[in-house]
Amino acid sequence: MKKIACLILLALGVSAFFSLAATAQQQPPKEKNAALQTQAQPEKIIPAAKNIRERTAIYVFVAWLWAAIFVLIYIVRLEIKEADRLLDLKFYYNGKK
Amino acid sequence: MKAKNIGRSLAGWFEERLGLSAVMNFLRKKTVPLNKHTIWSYTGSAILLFFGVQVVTGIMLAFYYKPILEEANKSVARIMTEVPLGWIIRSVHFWSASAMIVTVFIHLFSIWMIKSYRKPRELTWMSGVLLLVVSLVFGFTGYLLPWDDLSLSATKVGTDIPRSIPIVGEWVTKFLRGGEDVTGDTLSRFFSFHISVLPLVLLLILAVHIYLIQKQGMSLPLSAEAGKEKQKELPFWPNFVYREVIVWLVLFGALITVAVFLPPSLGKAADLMAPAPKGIKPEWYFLFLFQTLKLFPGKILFINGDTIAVFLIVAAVVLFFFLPFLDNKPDRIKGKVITWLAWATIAYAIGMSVWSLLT
Repeated sequence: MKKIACLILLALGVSAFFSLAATAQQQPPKEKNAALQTQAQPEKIIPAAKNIRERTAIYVFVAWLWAAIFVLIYIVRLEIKEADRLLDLKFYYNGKK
Repeated sequence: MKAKNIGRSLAGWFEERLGLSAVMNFLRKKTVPLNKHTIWSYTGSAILLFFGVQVVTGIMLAFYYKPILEEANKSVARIMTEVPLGWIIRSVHFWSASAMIVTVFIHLFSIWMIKSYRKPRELTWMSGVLLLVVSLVFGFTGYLLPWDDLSLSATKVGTDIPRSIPIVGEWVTKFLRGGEDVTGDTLSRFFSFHISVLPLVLLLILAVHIYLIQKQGMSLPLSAEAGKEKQKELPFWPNFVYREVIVWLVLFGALITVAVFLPPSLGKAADLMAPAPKGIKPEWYFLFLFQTLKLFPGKILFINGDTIAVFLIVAAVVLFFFLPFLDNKPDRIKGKVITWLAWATIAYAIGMSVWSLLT
């Protein structure tokens, strides 16, 4: 079960990384710089997704993050059960195996 | 098999030179008492998690931030609009700062309530109070760095407060500002404090704090010390650490989620000549102090009201610092009064903060 969980996590990670990296590509810095300089500075800059693609990527990223967290929590809970079982068996005695 | 053998030889090579197995043995011997207060034991490592996030995101922001008067606001705007995912990194840094300070307050008040500062843990408490002060100064110095109207005005007000202290007040204000007024010198000074002086000070005090915790072990509740209840224990490694990992994962996920959906905005570059915007307020963790200062009239018996307010606040912090020595009989009535004071302080801070937000 642990191996399957790790594989799911890896698959989620790889897919999310590449989709996020692809969406995070913005205009080349030079073009952006020029654009920013010609514009008057706005009163307030409120960061937000610029288009539907970016917004979707953000939602996908957050969904991936929580999926990965739940998988990791599942794995860690298995480790906790094992550690508690060993503790009950008094496997660790005075901190030494 | 070959990979395992290589791994074992490598581990043996490092063990011969670093002797890390002694640390692992120590961690295995260390135990965490299991009782109704164990939940508060997770707050310490949560603070470390948020601090780690601050360091990483802070370094990433420092790659692009320029601590110069003409460029500070523009560089933050660039981070938010041009640098890929820059706005998320800034948002994570912003929210992690608040999360760290909230957790520090929770940690401190939980220690106060369960009186973990009893002998021999007085120094642990005192180092903890210093860490709280350093965390608040981190927040104060970081607030100026975007150099927008709000942060400039808040810094002007904040650095003006020490002026009301007799004799040294003027000097303290000039030292903080790097001159009479808040200028570009203040910005570079605050930036230096924020990224070099304060991290070094914090790491030094943190090292002492963690050393003391490891040396003295985790404290027991009063009732357990009196032998009224049998104490269950959990080994720190690996049982408690695995549980902490779950807490870290949830906190990290919550931090990223909040940062992504509630990113902070950036105002236009501060104008040194412009008057302060109406209704300026400091960051949330200073609101109760800000509101307290507003309560005091201009003069009280020929003494400046601000001077009295600052002295009272400093006196409260000093009493807070020496709390283990004041609460030397925690199981008596005095101890119960001090616990009641903790609740009163929390209620006061929340009440004054809400009042400040509403006015």
